[in-house]
Amino acid sequence: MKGGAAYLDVGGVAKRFRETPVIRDLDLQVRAGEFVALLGPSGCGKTTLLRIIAGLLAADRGRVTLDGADVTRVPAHKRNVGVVFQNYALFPHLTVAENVAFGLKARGTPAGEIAGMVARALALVRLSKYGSRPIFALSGGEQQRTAVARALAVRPKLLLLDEPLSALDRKLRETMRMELGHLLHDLGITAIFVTHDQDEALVMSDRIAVMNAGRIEHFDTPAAVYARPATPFVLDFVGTSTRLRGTVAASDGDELLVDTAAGRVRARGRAAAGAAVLVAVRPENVRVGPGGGNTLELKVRDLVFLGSKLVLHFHAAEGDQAVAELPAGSTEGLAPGARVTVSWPVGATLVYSVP
Amino acid sequence: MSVTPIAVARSIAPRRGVEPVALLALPGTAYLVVAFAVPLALLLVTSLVSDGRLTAAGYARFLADPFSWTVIANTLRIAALTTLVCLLAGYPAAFALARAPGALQAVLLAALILPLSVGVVVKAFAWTILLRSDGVVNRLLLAIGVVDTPVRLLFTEVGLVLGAVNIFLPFMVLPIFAVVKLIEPRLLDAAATLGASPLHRFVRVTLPLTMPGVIAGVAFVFSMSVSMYVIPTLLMGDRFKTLSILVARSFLFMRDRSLGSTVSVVLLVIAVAVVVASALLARRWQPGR
Repeated sequence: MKGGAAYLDVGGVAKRFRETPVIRDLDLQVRAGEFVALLGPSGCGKTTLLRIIAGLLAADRGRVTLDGADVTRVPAHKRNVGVVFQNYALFPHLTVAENVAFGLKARGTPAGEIAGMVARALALVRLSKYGSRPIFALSGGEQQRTAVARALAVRPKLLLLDEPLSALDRKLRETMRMELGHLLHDLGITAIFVTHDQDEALVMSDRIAVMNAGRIEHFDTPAAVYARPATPFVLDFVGTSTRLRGTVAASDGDELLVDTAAGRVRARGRAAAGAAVLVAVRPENVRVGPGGGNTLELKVRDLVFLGSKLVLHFHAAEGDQAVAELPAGSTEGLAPGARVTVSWPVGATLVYSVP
Repeated sequence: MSVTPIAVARSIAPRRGVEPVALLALPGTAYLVVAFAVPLALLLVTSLVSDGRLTAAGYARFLADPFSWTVIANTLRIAALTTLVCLLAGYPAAFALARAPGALQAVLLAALILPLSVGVVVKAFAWTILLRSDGVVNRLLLAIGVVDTPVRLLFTEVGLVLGAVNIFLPFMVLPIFAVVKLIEPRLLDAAATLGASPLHRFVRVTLPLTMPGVIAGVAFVFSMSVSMYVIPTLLMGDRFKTLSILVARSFLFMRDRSLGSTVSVVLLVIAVAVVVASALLARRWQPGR
């Protein structure tokens, strides 16, 4: 990668459970201080990858390098990689402070220093007054913060978070999303968090690695992943879009003419005439009325009012979908069944070859 | 409004006052009073009343006799050894059982529980056959070359403990198995990522979390082995005296109800004291506290 060696370098890692491949020749490079989201559907191997990086699971092949040292064969307790588990895995027989002190004691930190370090870790997550509480007396959010404090107290080289917010209810999840993001950014710690929630990934991370079937399909900034998804899977998994299957009717330099069930669409890309492709556009790039480089006649199926915006779903061929997002209040002439003209710029059209 | 599971759990936590649910304990309590508490009270009265007068003379006489102390020592030694061997063998076995895959676990559990349906007399008698000088145990030892000549096992304390462990082991394995199954495996992963070595993980996480099962198992096995009668009678014979054997002899052969009651109470006090003390000790000794 550009700009020097990666802080965490996962190279050619593969893992099978019985005969099923869960991770397939996966590469991932993370820079120091970066906050990376590992986004993917359940079963895509993201938690398995996290466990391999933590040293809780041995990869079948490949290597893991952390801070310049090959840690592929280093067991978890010697790796200094902190983990916040999905259900926090707090020790039920210990108090909040004892949970946070656990790692310090395990590392043989002098007893005199432990109290101060525990207090600082608890202050970071605003749990200073909770030290003597038993774990069962904590709310879900407090447990989550205890787990973060426990992982941070030992000053890990790398922090891994496995669906850290999924056990919280929606309201709290949104608050903690911001709070946790700020905390980890302020500490400058290198962190990877696993999530299946695209909003979480988009809001919190510096870069998103979108995983599918044991591979990383796209690894880039949230804006880039959203605007220019690398594969149809990423397009589908992150955000919504109008997606139309078609065949290339003509190719002129780097511009394609694609025939779809909804009409002819122009896109920037290279493909041979007759090739099967998928063209797509993000809903906020679509406007009602003529004007863009691509214009289609579509029939409204549903109007979904979302407060600040209005989402239009159009009738489309089987397997296709067409959506547009408009500012709220622009409902004039838009009712289910109405035929409208929609348009978008050619430059906003995404095109993927499909097998 | 968001309500976390923990908040719900707290709202249904114990309240003051008598719960109607407590009434469900009534039939069981009534049975225990009639079948257990009343006879126990009569036993206590018998041990304390002599010639119509209340006296502790029976206890004084019993405790002044050096022979009594030999019997008490025998009883405690055998019970402690049996409990210790059960714990050392049962603790790892409970882990293996808890981590065994589904079908295998069911088979192993059945193998552990089914022998309980065989009477103690039958099992103890079976051990007298196994432990004979030409029994299976000796032939096995000879065959694998551990010994050159048959060792005396029957009518020895080693043989007694061997037989008792076999009979009481399920009562150690099952309660420990029950708590091990409840331990979240992620806790050990968490401990590892925090820098805890395998030994540290065992001592600071596994052991404290399994302590309730250990206490239950020790209480079961100790209270049963401190009061066992059939097993030492068959495996040790007449010469060896334990408190229960003394109780039986007092009532059945010597027709001395006063002595029998006294020894019974002594046995009961010792059993309860040891079980309570070990529970308190284990609770105080909570690593990581």
